[in-house]
Amino acid sequence: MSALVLATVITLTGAWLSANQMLTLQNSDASGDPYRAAEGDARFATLRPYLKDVRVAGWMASRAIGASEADEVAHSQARYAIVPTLLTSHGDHDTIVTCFDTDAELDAAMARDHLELIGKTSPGVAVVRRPAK
Amino acid sequence: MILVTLGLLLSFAIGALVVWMLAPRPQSPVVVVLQLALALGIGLALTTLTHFIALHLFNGSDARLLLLDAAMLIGLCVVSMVTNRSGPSEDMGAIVSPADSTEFTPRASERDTLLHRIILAGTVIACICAATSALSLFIGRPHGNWDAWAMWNMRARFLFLAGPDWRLTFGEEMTGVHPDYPLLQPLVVSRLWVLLGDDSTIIPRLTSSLFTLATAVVLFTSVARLRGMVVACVALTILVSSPVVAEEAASQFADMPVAFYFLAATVALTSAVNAKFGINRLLALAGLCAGCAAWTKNEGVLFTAALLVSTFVVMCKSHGLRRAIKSVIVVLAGASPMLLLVAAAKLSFSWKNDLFHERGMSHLLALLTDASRYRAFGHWFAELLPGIISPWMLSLMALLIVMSGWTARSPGHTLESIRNPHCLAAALTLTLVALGYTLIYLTTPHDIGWHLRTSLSRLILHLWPSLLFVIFSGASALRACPQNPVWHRLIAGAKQFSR
Repeated sequence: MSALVLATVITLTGAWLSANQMLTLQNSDASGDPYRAAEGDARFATLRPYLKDVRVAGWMASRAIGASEADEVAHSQARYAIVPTLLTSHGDHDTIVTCFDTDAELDAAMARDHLELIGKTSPGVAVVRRPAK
Repeated sequence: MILVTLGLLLSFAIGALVVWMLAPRPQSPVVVVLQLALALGIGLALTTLTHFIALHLFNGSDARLLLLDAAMLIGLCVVSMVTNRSGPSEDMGAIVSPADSTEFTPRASERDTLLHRIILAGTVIACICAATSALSLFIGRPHGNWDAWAMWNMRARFLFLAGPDWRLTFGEEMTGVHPDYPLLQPLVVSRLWVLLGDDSTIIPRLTSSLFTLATAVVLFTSVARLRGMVVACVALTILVSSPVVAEEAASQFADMPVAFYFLAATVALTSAVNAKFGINRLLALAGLCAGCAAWTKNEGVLFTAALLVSTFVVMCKSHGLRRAIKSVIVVLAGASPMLLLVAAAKLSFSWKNDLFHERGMSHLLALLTDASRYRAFGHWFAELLPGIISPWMLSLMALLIVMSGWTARSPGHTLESIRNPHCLAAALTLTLVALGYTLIYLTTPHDIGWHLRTSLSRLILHLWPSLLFVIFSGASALRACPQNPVWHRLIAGAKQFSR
């Protein structure tokens, strides 16, 4: 087999592989975002008005960050969305971003830690503040 | 948008001027395109330098950073005039051996002409399909993949939006998102956000596309100048048809820029080893590209070290010890602006890396002598590789390499392409980097399977364009590929036009 024939075979294989990848992406949801970053960004970016002049905020959620991939994704997306406020991984701050599954969990946490609601944008997602001592 | 265009043009002008100063004068349209593609990536990297300074000077950044870019351009113009070359200059990486020259390849027969047309059509189809794949991924994932929004673009947002608080992104609270990672990618993105005045997702998608396009162009043109258009088409087709390329291009990670700088440095090193004139300038260009890689990801530091070692070995073999030491110093000098940035960022913010922090030599040695880790590495590598590069393509490339070995030993050919230092330098660099990556996997503090699953495709992408360049510029089997007369006429027409 001459080098040119081999080069032709390689090129045709490459064209077939490229076309296959393109069709796979077109005919399935593979090109979609498995983590729905755009939705996550939009969900937490609505908290930005309540975080004006807040340099660092804490985090409270139904579960710990490392409990599941979904919890880790939620924290990372919130951190990405509320820049320039820095979101930490714990609740030891005056201002706290919450990501509870339900409003009932949010209310329970506020009652338990005596937190004030600054603003809420969707069920369980809010900015709360510890009262001044 | 006007400021973004101006910013990109300034980047490009700075890159073009640096390439003009360091690379020999182009003697063919292919090399002009090669140098313009190099200029794009180098320019984007150099303007991160001014952005980094602007962040420190102005405690944040605004459109004034264009003034710093303009100042850099003027400064480089002055340096360019002072160091202007009057001596002879050859084409970048001009082919030294007549046996390598496309002029000496056989004339195309009718069958060959048909095959050329098939190759050209296949390449065009592969490129269109890959571009469509990348486009659908860009549309489906406007914020990129996980690491893009969790780390790279998040950091870019801090640099753009946080004003004087931009350093917060490197604090202890950010340990989980690698504050030690270099800043080229976030700085490139945030610079354009500053000029746009908005953190639009178009910008990271645009920069990812530019780096991907530049990588493809550099591979195509660098192979074309050594082996002709037919072989360049084959190399380009393999690159764009690798599933990992479209995926990683759309991921908005820093891995495609790293792949670009690795390839650029490999091409510049190859040209330097192969050149009769301007060796030092080409070595400095290789060093600069390696430095840019180090400013993009920590893997670039390993690449820079590998480049220094291979430069030393190859120059020592071909020119002696004194010339080898001088060459290493020149490469280091080229890399120094970006390496200084890396050092400044690491000393200012964080140098602790999760892979090496608080791990003693005895612990690392124990891991390296554990046979089960080699088995796990081999198992995961074999399982993951087919998803990264098609086994069909790998088999065909293996056949090509075997054919090259056979052709090199056949009458009328010599072993020159195997012994040729231009192949050796690039191959040695890539081998050392691959060895370094393997050692990192073997000693990883994380689960080795998880580590490979989450990073192997990206690390292979770093080396893949450079490896294709080495294979296709060194494959002696393809030296005999006849050239397409249509392309010859096109090139001759372009040369005529440029005169």
